[in-house]
Amino acid sequence: MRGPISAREAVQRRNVGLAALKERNVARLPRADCFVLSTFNVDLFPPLLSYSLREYGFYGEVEVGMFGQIAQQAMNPASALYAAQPANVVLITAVEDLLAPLFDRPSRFSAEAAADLIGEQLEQLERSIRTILERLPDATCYVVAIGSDRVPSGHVLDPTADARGQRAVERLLHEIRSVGSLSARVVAVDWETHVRSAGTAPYRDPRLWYLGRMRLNPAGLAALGDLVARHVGGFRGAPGKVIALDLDNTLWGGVVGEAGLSGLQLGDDGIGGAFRDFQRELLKLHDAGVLLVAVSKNNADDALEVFDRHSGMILQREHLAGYRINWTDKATNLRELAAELNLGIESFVFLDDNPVEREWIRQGAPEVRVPELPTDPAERPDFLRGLPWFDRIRVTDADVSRAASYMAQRHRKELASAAASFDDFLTSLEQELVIEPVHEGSVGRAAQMAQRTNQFNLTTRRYTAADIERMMHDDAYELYTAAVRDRFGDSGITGMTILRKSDSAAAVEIDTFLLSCRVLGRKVEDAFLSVAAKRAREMGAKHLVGRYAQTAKNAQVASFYVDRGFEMVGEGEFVKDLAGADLDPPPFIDIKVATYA
Amino acid sequence: MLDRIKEVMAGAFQIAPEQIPDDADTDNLEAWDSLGHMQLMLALEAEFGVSIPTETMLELLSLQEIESYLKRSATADVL
Repeated sequence: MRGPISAREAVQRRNVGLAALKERNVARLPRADCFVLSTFNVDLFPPLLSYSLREYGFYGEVEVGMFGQIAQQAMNPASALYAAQPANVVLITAVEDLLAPLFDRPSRFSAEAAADLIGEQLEQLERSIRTILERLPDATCYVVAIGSDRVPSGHVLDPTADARGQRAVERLLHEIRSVGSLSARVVAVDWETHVRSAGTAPYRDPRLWYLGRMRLNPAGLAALGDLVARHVGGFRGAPGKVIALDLDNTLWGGVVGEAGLSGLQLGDDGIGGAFRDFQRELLKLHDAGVLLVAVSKNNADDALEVFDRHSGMILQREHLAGYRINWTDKATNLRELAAELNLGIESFVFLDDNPVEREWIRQGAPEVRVPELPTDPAERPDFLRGLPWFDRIRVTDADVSRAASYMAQRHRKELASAAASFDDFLTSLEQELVIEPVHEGSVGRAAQMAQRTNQFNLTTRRYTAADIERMMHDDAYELYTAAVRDRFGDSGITGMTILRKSDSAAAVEIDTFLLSCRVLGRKVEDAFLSVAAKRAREMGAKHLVGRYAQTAKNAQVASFYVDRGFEMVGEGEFVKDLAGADLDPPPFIDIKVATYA
Repeated sequence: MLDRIKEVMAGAFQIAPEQIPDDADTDNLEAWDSLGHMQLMLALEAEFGVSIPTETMLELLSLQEIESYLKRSATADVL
């Protein structure tokens, strides 16, 4: 949760707000002009509200009427309020102002007298609101309820004692918060809950009260600007209608294809708890009418098994309005889902822990909102709660049933691929592939990969460290690891291959060829294979032999060799003539190779 | 120092620093009205790291007085 806005930040916001107003909506944003009436002085508010409106995608010019005159301005048909004909009216009501007599001399007020005062003020406020709604039939009225940090008689400690006056204050605050029921065009804005995490102290400055009857300093007004703008955004319609979710390390900790069901972090304790809370927040959004779809690079069966069988899952299959769990690029998947759901892709919000995938979507589907999910899963539930794109003023029955109706409508359409060139994107990744012979320091990792890699594994030979060491000392074998680095970081060793010279020396066989899921879909496999082919040629071979042994998990590589120009010569056996066309490495990957001498 | 104060005043009053004479005060500078004065006091606090008491706010009505005050202020970030 963020801390309070600083005085310095308020100054900056004022400057940016004023500059934006000078530009007069060159960006052609939708307008949200406001007329503000307050029980206390808010003359410093306009540029701060304009700033916040812009953050929410609106251009708003803000006029402030004389303070302490809500009723006068509302009831007088010739007032500045009506002369302005505003689209939005913001009423800022501080309980301390409405109950000023009670705060000034609480001992004069019995419980009944306090109740009478509350009733009078409430009646007048409601009359003002109704009159405004009538005279401005197209306007929306935002009513901000500002509570009090103190009570009329603080020395009386019992919170419910009449003499303390706390109940009167709380009752009026509660009633003001309820004005939303007056009309669909009235939006109640709750300052108290919004400001709780920051505390109200940073936003108050008694000097400003005594010098100018200002209850909030500029930092407080900046925070108020954010709050009002958020409500304007929520009233005008939440732009986020669909959340597209990655699965591995987003909905649960770990990669299901490698760790299996039991190896995932998803439970009540530890970091698994953060993933569960993340799912809980997503489910809340689903219940409020936001659609959830899954977009993951995985075997569909492996991934769906987690939904169906993992006891830690909060989200179930029935909560998904659609999914694309495959090896296609995610931008294409999102476009297909948008068509399937019959929603504009600009209403999608994409959540993925992998910065490479996030960048791909930003380039390949720029209309999609892609927030920077925090690296630490512990921070993600708060982060999700803070996203402003799902705000709505209320939840209607239509919202709740929307999710259910989408489930009933799933059907598939063919679509053109993502607009951006895939090769351009891959080039922008600035990938580097480092290939080295397996050595003492990397034996452990090589064996681990042989044991654990299931999906991109051509022969799935479960070699132990001892096996690897034996082959290292056997001249017939050459073993290499592949490490991948890109713009976003270093993935470390994520691939391995074992080449075996045949007895006749005319052929080299690829005994093992595997890569971690993390680095798939970026042509790293092509780069790695091209190095193996080059090495085979250097070893004097005329043919390169690839083998494929089918398992339950590696169906995706069944056609790996055939797709790259190998000829199938037997069941799971493929041959490439090394005298023929080269296996060219992709040009955008920088390859560094160290080989056996 | 004077130039730095003029920059702050320019931001508070939304005018160019060149429009602020060395003898500027609430009488001869039109933009220096009560609201502008409030903005200025707050901006000076943010810029120079001082805390200006209420009574003092009512006394700092000219550029010269502001400069003297800031120079006297032990905690001011004036260098």
